[in-house]
Amino acid sequence: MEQIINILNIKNIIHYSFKPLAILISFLYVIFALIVLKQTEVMNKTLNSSANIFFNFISLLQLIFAVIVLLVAIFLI
Amino acid sequence: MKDNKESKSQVFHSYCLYPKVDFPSREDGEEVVLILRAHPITQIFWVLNGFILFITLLILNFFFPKLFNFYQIFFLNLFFLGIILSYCWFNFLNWFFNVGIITNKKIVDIDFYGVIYKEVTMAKLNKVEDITSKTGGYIQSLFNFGNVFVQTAGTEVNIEFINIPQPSKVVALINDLLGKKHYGADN
Repeated sequence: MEQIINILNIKNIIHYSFKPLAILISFLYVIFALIVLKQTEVMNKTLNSSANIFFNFISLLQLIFAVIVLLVAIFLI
Repeated sequence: MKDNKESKSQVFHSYCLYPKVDFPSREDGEEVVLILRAHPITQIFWVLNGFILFITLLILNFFFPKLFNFYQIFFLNLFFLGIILSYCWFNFLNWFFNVGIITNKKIVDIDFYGVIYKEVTMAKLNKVEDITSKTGGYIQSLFNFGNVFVQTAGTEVNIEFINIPQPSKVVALINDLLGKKHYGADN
């Protein structure tokens, strides 16, 4: 009985569900970052200016950041 | 009237005269006269949202230690910071690339909806029949921005520039270009 109450404890629920949830949302974030990078390329083709390299660079940075978040979720938590 | 074709931008690059840009449907000898974006004041909502989300994250950090361990807090901060920055970046991109382009031959309206939808509307200058500018309300009057509607003849689509700066100036510029086009003064 005590074990069941312990499992239902809020801290335990967070402890056991945090990692899979973190990996899932980080993975979705990586997909979002990929779509934004692709969309930035499409936007750059639609309107070609000298700032295009900068926009691509920032979108690429976002993707790298998303991958780092995913790696943190997999290996550090 | 003397043409001053020096490249210059006003109102945080939302009104750019003779910008050095290119677009796929540009023809030979076609010159980009004006690029229009929504007035920066209309973007204040996502800037404020980003700021509020950042403050919320800071406040949440006071409660995180009660529920999560160090690595979980580190992940949550990294993730939410990334989401806030991505939200701001995505909105900025949407603002920057939703443009109206006026050249010496045509008027182009490029719109991006959401993440993946793109709409390009084009009208030749000689098909333009009527141009209307509309400004209303305190904010629009105060910051001098509004909408410009370009009505075209026949089956050509109508073009709308929403929340652009200096709408009356844009109408005057299009009228000037139309005059040049009709009287053949653009050669």
